[in-house]
Amino acid sequence: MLFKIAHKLKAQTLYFVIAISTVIAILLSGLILLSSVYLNASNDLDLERKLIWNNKSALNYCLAQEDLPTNKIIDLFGNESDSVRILAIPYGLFYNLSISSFHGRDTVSKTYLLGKKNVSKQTTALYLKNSNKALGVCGKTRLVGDVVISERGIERSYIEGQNFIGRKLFHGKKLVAKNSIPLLQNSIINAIESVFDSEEKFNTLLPGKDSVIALEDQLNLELTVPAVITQYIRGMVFIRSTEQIVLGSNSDVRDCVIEAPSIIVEDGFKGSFQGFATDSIIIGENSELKFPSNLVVAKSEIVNTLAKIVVGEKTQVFGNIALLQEKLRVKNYGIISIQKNAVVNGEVYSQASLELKECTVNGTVLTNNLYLKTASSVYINQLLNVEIDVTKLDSNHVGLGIENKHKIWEVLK
Amino acid sequence: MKKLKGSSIIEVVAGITILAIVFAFVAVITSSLIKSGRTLKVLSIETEIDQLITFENNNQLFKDRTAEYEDYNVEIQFDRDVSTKSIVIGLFEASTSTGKVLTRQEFVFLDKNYE
Repeated sequence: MLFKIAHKLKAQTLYFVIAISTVIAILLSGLILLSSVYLNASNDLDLERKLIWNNKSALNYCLAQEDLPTNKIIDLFGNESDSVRILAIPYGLFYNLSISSFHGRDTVSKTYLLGKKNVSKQTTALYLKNSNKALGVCGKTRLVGDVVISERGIERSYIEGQNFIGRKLFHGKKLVAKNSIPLLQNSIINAIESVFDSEEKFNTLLPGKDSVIALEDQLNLELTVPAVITQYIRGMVFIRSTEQIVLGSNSDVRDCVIEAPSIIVEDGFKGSFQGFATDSIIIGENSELKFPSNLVVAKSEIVNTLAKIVVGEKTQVFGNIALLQEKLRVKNYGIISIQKNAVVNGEVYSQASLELKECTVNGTVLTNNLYLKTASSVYINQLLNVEIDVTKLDSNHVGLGIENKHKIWEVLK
Repeated sequence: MKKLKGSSIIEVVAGITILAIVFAFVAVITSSLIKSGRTLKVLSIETEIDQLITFENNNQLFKDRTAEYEDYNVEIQFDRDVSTKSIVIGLFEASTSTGKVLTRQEFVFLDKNYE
């Protein structure tokens, strides 16, 4: 006998014991549940951490490749527990890289905007096609970097009552140019072609919407009537129009691609976009095109118009400007015109003419023809109060890749 | 042997139940505390490993070494990829002084200085 029964217990005691046992059991279950939740949370945290690191690992893997994998699943470390899906799609002159690291049903996804930058620093400030004419500089013109011009060289000139002010005509090396400016790299040409020839499915951009956001997947929108964009647009939004598009000064556009015959940006606009036009791109005054932006006019042969890119007065562009016109045309010869006090931080590439009006280019200028129109006359191959400084080009700038063949991927966003 | 009364049986059952509950209670609490303690420790080690990976990514040393902490070590090993030479795979493995592995993390580094 374990217990000596002294007296009779009441039946009520049984209820009492059961009640206490129930309370203790509930407490115990609570503790077990807490422990289990804690353990699960810890495992989830562990998994999340692993997936985040795997995502970053996959990004490094992609950055090391010559060409991005278009759609690929890879097992990072060969132990079948670190799988990532990589999807790269062209987006204007850049690439959208989507990386999903997954384990079972858990996934961590991130999208990056990638571009290719030159490994070595650019040294060319100005490349002017060899037309057997000397380059004339006057006023406060300042050329910092190598100049690639005709054998006739560079000389002081006198325009609009202004002589050259300065000790040196240029700060760098002088090289002899070829009969045309270097061609863009095939990858850039293909990227431009793919924008104009995109056969993706497009949905209609509804004018009533006040915001369009696409952070994960690309959103293709189409316009069939001339439109003024006033919306808030963010992320991978590709807008195509068969008619002219106007970007309103009150619009808030970031990172989108716009393809239209003509793109007009109103004065005071602030934002970033890649514009592709067959006819013209006109940027208003006092605007700011943030990095990464690109302005490209190409395929004007098809519409047979005067291909034109105009950067308005006091406007800043952080990106590249390119006008492609491969065939020499007497009529409707295209032109890039950068107005007074405008600043371009990037590359300016014109297969036709280029007009620089007392502006600054922090980067490289390549053109087949320099054109300058003043109140009294028109000049060829003359620079008046223009600053071109390649040393001020940001080392991480993703350009058109003309000078250097060896390029590496750069994460833009 | 005397016959037990109904009330005695109830007392015995109640006693055993209470003892069992107390034992289970103690066991669960102890186990939870041990697990929590271990998890907290692993979490702190993982934070250290995260910092080591970030440091390596910024400084690009890629040299095998051991990072020593109070009661555990982190073995750091690097292996350059055969096909893409600018890729270096890093293994960070934390273990106790007795050699028991606490946690490990692999990471693909991009050797920015490799040409």
